[in-house]
Amino acid sequence: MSARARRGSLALCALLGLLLGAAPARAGAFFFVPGEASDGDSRVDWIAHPNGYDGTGGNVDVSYCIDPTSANAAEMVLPLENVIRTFNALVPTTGNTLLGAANELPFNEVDFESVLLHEVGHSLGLTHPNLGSESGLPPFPSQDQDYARSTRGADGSFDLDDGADAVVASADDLRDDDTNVHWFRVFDNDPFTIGATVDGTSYSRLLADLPGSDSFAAIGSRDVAGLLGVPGVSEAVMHQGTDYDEVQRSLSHDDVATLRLAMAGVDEVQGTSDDYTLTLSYAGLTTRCDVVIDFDDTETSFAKTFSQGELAYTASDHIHMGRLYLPTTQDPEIFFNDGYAWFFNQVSNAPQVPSLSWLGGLGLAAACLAAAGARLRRRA
Amino acid sequence: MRRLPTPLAGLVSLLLLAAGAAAQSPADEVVYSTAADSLVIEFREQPGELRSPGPSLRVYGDGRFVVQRPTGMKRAGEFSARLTREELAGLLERLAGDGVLDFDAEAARRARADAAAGRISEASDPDSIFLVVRAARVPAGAARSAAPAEKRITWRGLRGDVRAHPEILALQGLADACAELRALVDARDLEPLR
Repeated sequence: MSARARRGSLALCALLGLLLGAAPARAGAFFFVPGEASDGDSRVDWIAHPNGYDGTGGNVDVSYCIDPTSANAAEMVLPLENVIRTFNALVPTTGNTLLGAANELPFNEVDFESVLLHEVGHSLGLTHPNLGSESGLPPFPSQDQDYARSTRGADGSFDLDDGADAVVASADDLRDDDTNVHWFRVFDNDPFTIGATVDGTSYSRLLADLPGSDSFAAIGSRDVAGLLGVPGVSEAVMHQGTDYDEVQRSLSHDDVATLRLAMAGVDEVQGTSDDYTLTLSYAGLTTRCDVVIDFDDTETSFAKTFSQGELAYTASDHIHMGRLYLPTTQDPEIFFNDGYAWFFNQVSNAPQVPSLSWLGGLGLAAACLAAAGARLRRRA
Repeated sequence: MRRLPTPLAGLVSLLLLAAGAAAQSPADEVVYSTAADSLVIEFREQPGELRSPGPSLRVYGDGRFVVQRPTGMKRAGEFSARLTREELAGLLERLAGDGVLDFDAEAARRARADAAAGRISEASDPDSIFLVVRAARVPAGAARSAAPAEKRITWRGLRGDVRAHPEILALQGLADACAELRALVDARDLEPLR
């Protein structure tokens, strides 16, 4: 069966499933799912929401600020404003990773805006689609941490086999009894696509919902993007693992889908009253906001986000990010280490407002066109 | 993994240090090889979100230490400096006092699990620390010819664990030890090696 035919039949199956009233599959890749959980443990189904979502829908505003006493406080402002606009736009992109000569960074610097985008994703409830450093597996150059996010399963250890295509975290990985916790698109298990509907009917973490002969959830890694023929260098922002001379300032389909999945609310159905929209805002150089950003070398060797979680909804598999993990509301949640050579982008990604001179030129052009039209009409 | 130098002559001459740190008996002494080719302390930190290796430190028996601050860090490069015999002895005493030589990772993990019960929290992108200390604490007057023991510690998310569970003294001690070693990594008066 061709891929197109397979996808078509899967879509038909999904539609039939809905029409027959099948229980909605659940969806996402979220904070707080504990590594020791396994099948039958409700925690593997946890979907994390930003603090401020009360389960009844509407708009959820999450404010971000910069500790005015932090190192690099002034340099952080514009990158943070850019990150806020990026999350508010929720536009999925491909080719979002610029390496080497494709970006403006010196070879030995780390792009603050890119890492901040990742950390802000954590603060909203997203976690890594890959196993990441929290797995305890060996770091790069080993690819073990790059496998799709899962628990260790009943045997208590990760089972890592990249399958026939030899691409880690692709759809043919063989993971034995590891419990998948990465939520995939049921239609095609392709993390670089997104549908009009993103909710528990169209995304799932259950391997039984995988299309065709797929054996595990594919994640938004660069290798998987290459395997799927996605243009440019593409990667989910929430995929753990950045490096020097790397820019990644726009969201991938998987990042957007996971947020939208949560935004379908506790009933996990898009278009119902408990859906919410998400608005991030910048509160300035202060510590009076929901998420404070700070350079503090005692808290991290590079970058991290702290949060506590609270099970505050009637649906037991939904959780929201705590305001703070730390004991006082004056303390920061997102930390960076100042030992690294950070690059602070100072180019705004805000839509450009037409300038007076540009408007003048446009007016002149319109006037010329009008005059030319008048001449043509006169000749006619 | 880097191959460790074979401790030969250095192990024969063990420096005996008067102990006095809080976690050990006043009668204890910390012993280690003073040979120039004996690695007494190895420390490395791997940031969770970063693919490239983090900074590292190697301290030799004669007090010489080598710091690597990889590309992407401020003041990147390989550097060296030397601790006096007293400074190295003092450093090892403090590490012993912090509980490094007796650190029981399994017990600390159990304590962390117990402390975390009923609480939901997470610190993203946990760092990993790798610490090797080749020294031993022995009762004063005990036989001094034995080779110093090798203590290896690997811990993930130490800073987050200490923040979340300050009551776990073993983790606090390990964090204090790491902070002391980081101070050497971050020292500004180091000699560039290349």
